Amino acid sequence: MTRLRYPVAVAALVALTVLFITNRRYVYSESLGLLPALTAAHIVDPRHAGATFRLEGRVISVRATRQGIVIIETHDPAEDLYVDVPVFPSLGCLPLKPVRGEAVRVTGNLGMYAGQPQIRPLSAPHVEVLDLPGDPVSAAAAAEQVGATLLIGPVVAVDAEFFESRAGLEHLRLTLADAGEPAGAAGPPVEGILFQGEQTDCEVDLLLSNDPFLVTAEVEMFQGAPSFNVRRAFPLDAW
Amino acid sequence: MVIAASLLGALTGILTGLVPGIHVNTVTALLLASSASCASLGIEYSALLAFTCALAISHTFFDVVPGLFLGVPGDESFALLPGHRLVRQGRGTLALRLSVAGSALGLAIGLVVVAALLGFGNLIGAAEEAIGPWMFLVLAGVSLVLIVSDSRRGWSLVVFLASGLLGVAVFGSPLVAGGLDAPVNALFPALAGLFGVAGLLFAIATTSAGEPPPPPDVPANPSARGVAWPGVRGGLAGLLVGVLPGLGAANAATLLLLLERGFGRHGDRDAQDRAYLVTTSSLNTSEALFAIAALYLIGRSRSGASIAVEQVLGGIVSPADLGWIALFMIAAGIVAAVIMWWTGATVAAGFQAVDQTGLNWSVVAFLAVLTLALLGAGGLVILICATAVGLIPLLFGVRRAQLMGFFLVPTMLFYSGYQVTLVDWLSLEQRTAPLLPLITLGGIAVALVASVTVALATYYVAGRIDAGAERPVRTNGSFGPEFSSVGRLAGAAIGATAGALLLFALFGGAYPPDDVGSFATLTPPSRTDGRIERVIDADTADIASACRRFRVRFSGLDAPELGRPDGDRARDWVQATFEDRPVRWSAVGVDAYGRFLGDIELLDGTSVNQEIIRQGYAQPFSGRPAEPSRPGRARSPRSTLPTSAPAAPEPVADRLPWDDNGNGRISCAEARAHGIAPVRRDHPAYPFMTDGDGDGVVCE
Repeated sequence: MTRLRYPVAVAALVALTVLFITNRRYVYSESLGLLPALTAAHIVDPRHAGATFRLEGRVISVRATRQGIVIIETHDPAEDLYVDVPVFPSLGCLPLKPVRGEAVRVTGNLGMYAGQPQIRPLSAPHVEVLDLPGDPVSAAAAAEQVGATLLIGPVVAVDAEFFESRAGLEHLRLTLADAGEPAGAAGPPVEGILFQGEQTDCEVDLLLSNDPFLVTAEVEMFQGAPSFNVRRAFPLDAW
Repeated sequence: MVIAASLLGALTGILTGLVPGIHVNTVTALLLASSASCASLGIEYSALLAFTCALAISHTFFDVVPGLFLGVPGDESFALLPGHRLVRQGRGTLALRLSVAGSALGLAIGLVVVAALLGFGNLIGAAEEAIGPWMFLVLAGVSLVLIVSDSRRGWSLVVFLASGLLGVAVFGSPLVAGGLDAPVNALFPALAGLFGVAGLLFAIATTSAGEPPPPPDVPANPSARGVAWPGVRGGLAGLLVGVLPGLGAANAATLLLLLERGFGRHGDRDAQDRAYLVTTSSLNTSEALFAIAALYLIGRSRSGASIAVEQVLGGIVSPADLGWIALFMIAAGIVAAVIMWWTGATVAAGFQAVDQTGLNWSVVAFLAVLTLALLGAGGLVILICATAVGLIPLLFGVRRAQLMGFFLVPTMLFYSGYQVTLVDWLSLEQRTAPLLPLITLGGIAVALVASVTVALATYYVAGRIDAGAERPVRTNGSFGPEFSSVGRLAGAAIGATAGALLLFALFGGAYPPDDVGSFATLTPPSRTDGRIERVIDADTADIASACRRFRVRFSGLDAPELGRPDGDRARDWVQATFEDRPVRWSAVGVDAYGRFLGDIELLDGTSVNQEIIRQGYAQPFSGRPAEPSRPGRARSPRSTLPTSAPAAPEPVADRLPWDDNGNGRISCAEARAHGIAPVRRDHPAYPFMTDGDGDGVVCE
């Protein structure tokens, strides 16, 4: 009997290796672009449950749960569809997290959760931001444009710490400075905040690292000084 | 039709329970996949609901049978040894009746507990919200106890981690198109391999032709005293594993056993065997019940059957639905119990007569062909990988409950909050192959016919080979077998296949996805037949259509809210005029609350939408619909309904309009029943709900 034990254990190990290797080697076809756009009629027809569709719409809201699910609520005005796009942590980091108001294209599988239709992306790169923001501006220049929503960077976080709000939420307070500039050369560092509920684990990891990054932020006045209300942060290579 | 569906579901559950290696999730997945075609057969969603609930319960009454008589360890393997010992002592009928009594008690206790919980508002939901931040530690603690308490701790850990890695790989695998979103998805071959094929191959390799037959069966009845406490504890433990994610009946049974030992409650071996069989049967049935009730209690699905129920009901489970579900389950429980109690002796005799090795081979063939037919070569790869992992605990004498690492490890990763970091670090990003909507009732029927045909042929051929084979003797009840030549052959085949797959994976190059060009040829019907089942208010109704229930907001109109005289009057008119009438409807959008926007017409072509406007019970409206109807909630008064009375003042709400049970708190189930979920921070209901993860959104 012992003769079979270890061969089977090795076979199991090989089997697991096979699964992980095949996952890595999979390549998506360009013909995914031919997929039909999602309509309400598709959602009603049970034959399409789990089938793959293309969804194009505008982002209504983006929020992240404590378990790391990023939920993107979208509206497709052409089909009058409100559809949620849940990005589970198993997909890894989104190359570029969409923010409210942006147009997105999502390729994924049709599902329902608690009565709400969802498109679950095939992979993280299948959540695409269509109207990319314009050229980035420096943090120092952005600080002078109060009221605007801007792409800012490259910047580094010279200071970043979590603090608990009165409501018990954990927001991330930041101090951002232009990357590559000597301290104070381009202007003083600018305070910023990334609210819990908007912060993804990937963004937090990035902000707490020493790497330069880009942010999309609303420039506001807070306690008499410009402050960045950060909507997203992403690495330079995602730009 | 509903009664017939319940009966059919109960009988199907008996069949799936009797066939080793067939899980109720497999049947519900096939059912969901084929339900698209059931509308053309005139079947309503309520029949599908009855079938699913009856199937889920009656399956649990019978799924212990293969383990008892064939020595096939399935996911109920925790009951194998005690139950099998009784059978080997010629008390198979007693074992069956103990199992019936346990399952019946589990069902009864489950129903009583669910009814009691309803009286306490959202107690389970609140408990689940409270446990949420600690879920990782809870699951890690349970896993640790299960691993440490095993006699072979090292191999227990190996099995737990290997099955966990398998779970991570399968959940993120493109091998089966559609991933876990597909109606028949990668879970089918994974679970069939882990708990079905592995056990069957082990039984084939170790079943002895020379084993002495058990003595003639002596029918006997269990004592009420011996059944009561084991049944109660099993029923209550079912609540725990039915509601908590990642845990299964196997985990709970093992924990109960450890607790029993910890408290030093040892009876004689025979009494222990009987008590254990009752406990595990009760646990199995109550878990199936709670997993479906969890849809209402915590708003989440916890099993394949509960996913099917959620889909059929359109994601909204009302108290009335829960009542119907309970009725279907009771009916199935009675049918299953009566059949099993009175046919126990016949079943026992039947299993003695059948060629056990042939039957086990035929089920392996059935599962393999069904996997290949429904999921292709990728599904078969997962089946083989899962079988290899599933064999480890059997070969090393480790509890099979450790295989629940398949669910526990990915669930713990999820609740740890570090999953995305780990995925990024190890490059384990999930990739899903696109899925074309090709699964139809006809396709499933062909797959089933092919699978059954191959299985029958295998039974015949294996029986012929087995008749002439010499087999070593297996020590009864022990996991230290000597393998026959058949077993060695099976092991060698698994090893060779795994090696070939590894070579392919390493050197086979990237593999392309399916061509999606043909997708556009499948277009949904422009209009669907249905029936207005229930009018919610003058612009919203539940429509039974295509074997599902849909909450539909009539497009192009806006009616006054309930709680206002004009709103109530409008609802009453729409209810009296259109409720329970057959219609044709087309969905033209989905609003922010998940309701379909629908154009509805009667069979004579009359537009329901236009008729409501024409009668003055609603205004034309072309913008984004307002929030769903909420009795007693104010909205801007702009109604011009035909009334001579002046607009009535807004009623003063004496309690929260969404708080159906009046406990001062709003549960997710209540929020969903009123169509306001997910509830965001700026919603008036939000202060009365529990935002467990503090992200400003509840019931997301």
